[in-house]
Amino acid sequence: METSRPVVVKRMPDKVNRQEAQKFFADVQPFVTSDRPQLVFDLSQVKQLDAAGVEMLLRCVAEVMKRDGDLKLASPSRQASMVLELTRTDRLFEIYANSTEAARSFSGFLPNAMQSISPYPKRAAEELPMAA
Amino acid sequence: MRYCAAVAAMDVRAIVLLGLAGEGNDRATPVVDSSENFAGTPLAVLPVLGQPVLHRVVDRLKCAGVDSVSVLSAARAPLVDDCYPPGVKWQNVADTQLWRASEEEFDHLAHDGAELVLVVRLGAYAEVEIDPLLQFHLDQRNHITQVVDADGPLDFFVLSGSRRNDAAFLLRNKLGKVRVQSRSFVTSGYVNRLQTLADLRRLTLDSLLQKTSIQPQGEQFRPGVWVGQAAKIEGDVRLVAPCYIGPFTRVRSGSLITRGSSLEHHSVVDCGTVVEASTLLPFSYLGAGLDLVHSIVGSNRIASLKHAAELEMEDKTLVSVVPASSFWRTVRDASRLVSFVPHQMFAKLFGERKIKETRPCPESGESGFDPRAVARPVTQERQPLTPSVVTRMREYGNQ
Repeated sequence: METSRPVVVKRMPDKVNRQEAQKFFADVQPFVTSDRPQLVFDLSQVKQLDAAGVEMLLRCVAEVMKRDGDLKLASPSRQASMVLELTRTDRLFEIYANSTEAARSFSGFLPNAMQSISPYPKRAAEELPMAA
Repeated sequence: MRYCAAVAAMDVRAIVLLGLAGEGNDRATPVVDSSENFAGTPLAVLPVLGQPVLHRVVDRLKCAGVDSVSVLSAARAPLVDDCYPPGVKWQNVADTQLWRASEEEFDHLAHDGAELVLVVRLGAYAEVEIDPLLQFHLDQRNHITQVVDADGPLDFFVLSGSRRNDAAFLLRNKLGKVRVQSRSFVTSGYVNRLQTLADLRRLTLDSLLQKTSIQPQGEQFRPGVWVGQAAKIEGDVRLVAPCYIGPFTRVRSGSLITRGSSLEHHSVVDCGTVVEASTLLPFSYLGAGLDLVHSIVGSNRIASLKHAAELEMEDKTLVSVVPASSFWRTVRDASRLVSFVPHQMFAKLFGERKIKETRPCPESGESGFDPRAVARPVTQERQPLTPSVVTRMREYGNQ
């Protein structure tokens, strides 16, 4: 099966304040500014997320969408979920229970994934390409 | 003095215990180590529609004719210090000494001539019918009568003043055991066990829906909407019943307060924020453009009932504490104003202009058509991605 563009999964640090957000953005910038990036941020370790962290997420999604890519969030901790809901940013992202589901969701709408649709949906789903 | 059918006049007094854990916890543990607290403050001390549960319990006892109320508190929190109900004997004791102190207080009351002593641990908010309870205790000739409801026993007892040994046994066993078994009094009044923050929210909502005898402190200026004195509500704020706006609260422009929300005194809701089925505890600040749902905010913390999690916020723009002193509040507001004005001036002078000037292209003719432009590479200018734009993109996809 032909592999489509890679999905980059990045785990966010446990504390995302202004400094950490800047550091994290510097880390992911090469991926964010690539062509049609497909990113997943894993928020399972996040215990503290402040407005700067949320702003960084919005900046990332804005940059990614400018380049026809997408940014999805995976396994947000309770604290992260609370802050995302509080700041109304949860509705801007697709949020998945884990990184695997989030990464797999990218392949669902790709043209080469469409080719693999067969009369046996379960088997077809197993064969879906996924690159991480 | 109160008058009962059985006796001409009876001396009834009460001891209210505050700050120790109740059922489901080890009774010797302080309430800060149990679920019956928020940020180290017992739930019974937190205000519900303008007044702490402790005050309401004391008021109920006094209205029922109880001569004196002694409060023994093992709780240590800033709100507890502001919570002394008027006309009660208040005693702060160490966690480990609370039961000993209550035993001594019982002895003191009995020595003073109390015939019946009510012992109440907060804990639960229970609207127990005091008159029938005392009559039941006398009719049954009980040494100790415990109050129960449909869900089980409550930490609410009537003790005969002459039965010091029974009282000592009960208090030494942390209200867990009685020396002589006797019939319990079944209350049909409203009971809320106040064991979790969800219980506190339920009490607020039940009170707004008038299922309890708790009356919000303030004026009902629309059906189901209560507003306390000196509350500042800006013009385009939406208040959807039932809700409560406490005294000295500020609700700024574009906010929505709905679904049984309660803003306790001196809290601030900033512009465009939605408060839904939530409580803001006293002196809480909630930032602009937020969406607070099924939560309790106070002491720099948010407790979400939906996620069953508590989060301490370090970011002051989201949640912070309003200074308790009016002087410091004024200083804070003034400093914000002072920093806001130059910031706006700087932004106007040097910031990015929103409207770009359109200049006619000197090379183009009168028709405005430039044939050479066809050969130039097209630079596509995208509009800046604000959250609203991203939302629209999400709705319609990026096809």
